[in-house]
Amino acid sequence: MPKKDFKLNRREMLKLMGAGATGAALNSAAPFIRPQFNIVKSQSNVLRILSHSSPQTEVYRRAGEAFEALTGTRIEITECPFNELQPKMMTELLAGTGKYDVIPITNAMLYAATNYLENLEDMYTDELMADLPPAAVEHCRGLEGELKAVPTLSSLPANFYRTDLLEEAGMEPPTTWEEFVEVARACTLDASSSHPKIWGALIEGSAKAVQPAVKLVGWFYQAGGGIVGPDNMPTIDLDENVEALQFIVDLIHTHKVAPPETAEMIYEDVHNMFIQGRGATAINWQYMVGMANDPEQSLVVDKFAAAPVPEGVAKGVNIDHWVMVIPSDSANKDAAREYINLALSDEHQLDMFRTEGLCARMSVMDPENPEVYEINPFIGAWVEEMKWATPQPKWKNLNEAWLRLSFAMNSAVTQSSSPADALERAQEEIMALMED
Amino acid sequence: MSPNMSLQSKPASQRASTPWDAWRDWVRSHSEMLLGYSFVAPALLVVGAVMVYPILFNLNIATRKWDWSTPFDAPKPFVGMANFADLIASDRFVNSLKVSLLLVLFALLVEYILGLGLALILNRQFRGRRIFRTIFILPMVLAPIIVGIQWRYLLSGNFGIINYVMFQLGVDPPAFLSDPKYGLPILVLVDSWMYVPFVSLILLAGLQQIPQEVQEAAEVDGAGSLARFWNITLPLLGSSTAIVLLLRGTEIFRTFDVVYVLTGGGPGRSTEVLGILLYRIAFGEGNFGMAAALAVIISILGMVIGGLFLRFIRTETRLF
Repeated sequence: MPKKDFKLNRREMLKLMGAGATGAALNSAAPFIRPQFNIVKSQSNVLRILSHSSPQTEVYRRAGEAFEALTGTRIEITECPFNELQPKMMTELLAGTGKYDVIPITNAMLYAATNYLENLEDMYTDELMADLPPAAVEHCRGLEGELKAVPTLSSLPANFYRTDLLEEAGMEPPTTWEEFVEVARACTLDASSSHPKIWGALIEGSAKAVQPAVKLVGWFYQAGGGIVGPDNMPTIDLDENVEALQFIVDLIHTHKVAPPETAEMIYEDVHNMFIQGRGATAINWQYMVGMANDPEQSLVVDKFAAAPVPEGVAKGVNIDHWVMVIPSDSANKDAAREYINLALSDEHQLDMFRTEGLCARMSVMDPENPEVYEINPFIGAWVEEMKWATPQPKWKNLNEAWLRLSFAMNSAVTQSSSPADALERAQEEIMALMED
Repeated sequence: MSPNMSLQSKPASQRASTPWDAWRDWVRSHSEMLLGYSFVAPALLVVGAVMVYPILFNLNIATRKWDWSTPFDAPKPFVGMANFADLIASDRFVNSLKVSLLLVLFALLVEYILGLGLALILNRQFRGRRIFRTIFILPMVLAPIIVGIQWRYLLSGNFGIINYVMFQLGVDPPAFLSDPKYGLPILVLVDSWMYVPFVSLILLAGLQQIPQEVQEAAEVDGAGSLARFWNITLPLLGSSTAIVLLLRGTEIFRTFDVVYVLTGGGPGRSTEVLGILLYRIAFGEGNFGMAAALAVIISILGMVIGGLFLRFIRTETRLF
């Protein structure tokens, strides 16, 4: 029998095209044909937490162990890198998988997720409200002002400085920008056979993370600037902000007291260099206290202190918070509330303080408490800063806005563009983000 | 005689008159074709589920406004080509396209030249050839993420071994990962480090296909080694060159992982390739509509680049 030719004739071709068209039509109806996700409804005896990999998560884990002992409900923690936390959370929330019951996030991540989160107004007792810094409560409010989160950790950068180097140089800890430059100049030491180069000032300037922008905004406030107008619209390109960014650029390129690698540095690089004794001052968060005092990893034990960040024409620092949220699609909302309550107890807030250098509840961080003082001898610097710290704006896509600002900072410190151009561009980009 | 053949040979006047009979006749007369289709149907279904549906879904999303404020199952407004228009008009897209194309150009050039050099060396017999060949293909088997991290630590300004060695040698080390002018060259360097072995293996296979007699005949005719390389080796490597250009060209164009880990698109926007831009639009801004539009553009551009290489291949090698 002769082999048949498998060429398609016109009619068959038309049939295939018809099938393709049907597929396309089905696709255009995709919003109505809802794919069924594998909905993971939490079992009543398991509480699932999504958290980023950090010492902070270990605090949540320890609270989880206590929670299990108390209630019999087991805690399962899924960890991801910090940069992946928001995408992962949003993907889960959008798809409504119900996979997680509690998610610790930064306040900057809260606003994009507001619509998908449980209202936690009922968790705020008068006692708790009175024990939290006002900025912490403000950071837990969603775009409409409703309380959608509970804070577990306040974070503020302070100015760490090497007491031995300053003493050698005969300098006092800097309190103003001018003094900051003077100290940094006096303490910048060239490399010799006895030590590697010591930089006068360690700051962040990477475009890859949000943290450089969060700290940059503090410099804006110190210059008399700000990032949000009365109508909640961004004011990134104010002259005062440009001046602040120029100040940072000058630290690297004019005064040469900050490393050229500032452009690739995030907080981890700052702490690594500081604890290795390669920086005389460093602007970083409170967690660095414990790290710099740990003889197993630090060369500067008992050789450093921390003070409030220096002021320009004004005092200013950008405060941010870690907060806990409960997704609306969680099947374990009551247990999630109980867990958060436990995480806010004295015991676990003190654990947070011990691990991260601060916590959320003011009564736990009482500087008069000897235990607190022993953990963070410089707690006074942060308590002082909290008095004039500025809360962050409520922008729908604040996390991405920080990234755009980090990018602007990076462009300026790499001298790819002037501070004015970089901030003007950031202003345009952030405005566009808000319009989306 | 098979039943099929008897049916096919039935005169027109005797064919079934009812629609059912007509349908049965059609099935019988096309049984071989239908059998063929039934064999490939499972594979087609799988391909349809994992490839075609996502592509169609992506096309659909590219024409809609969808961001983080809209749940997956909520209606998403149709915006036509607005996502494409906004994207193409943006500086970020133009910059990323430029970076991606420059990366393809320079990385291909470097990889081809070095790969060819290595292939020529490996094509000769020398002591330790096998060990050398084993060692030099090691970068190929490493995951791109690991390569990115490894190079980030090597090139780090503060902790990098390269800067340390340069410093010890009395050379003022440049800020490799902080200075935009080094951004693209570093990507070319790292990509080449990973893929020169791959390129050289393909070219080596090509070299080993070249008949020795041709080379010997040219040598007898007085052709020098350069002339033989230029007039014999290189033209006869056409098919291998074609494969290298096609595979590596499209691969470099859609690169993401190494760049994400190594530079994250910086310093500035000097290494923000299209893949990084897509990731940032989708998972930074949560603008899925625009990200889908960018995915469509990247696919089309990838096909164009692949098509251009195929055209080059046809012209140069008459292979296809």
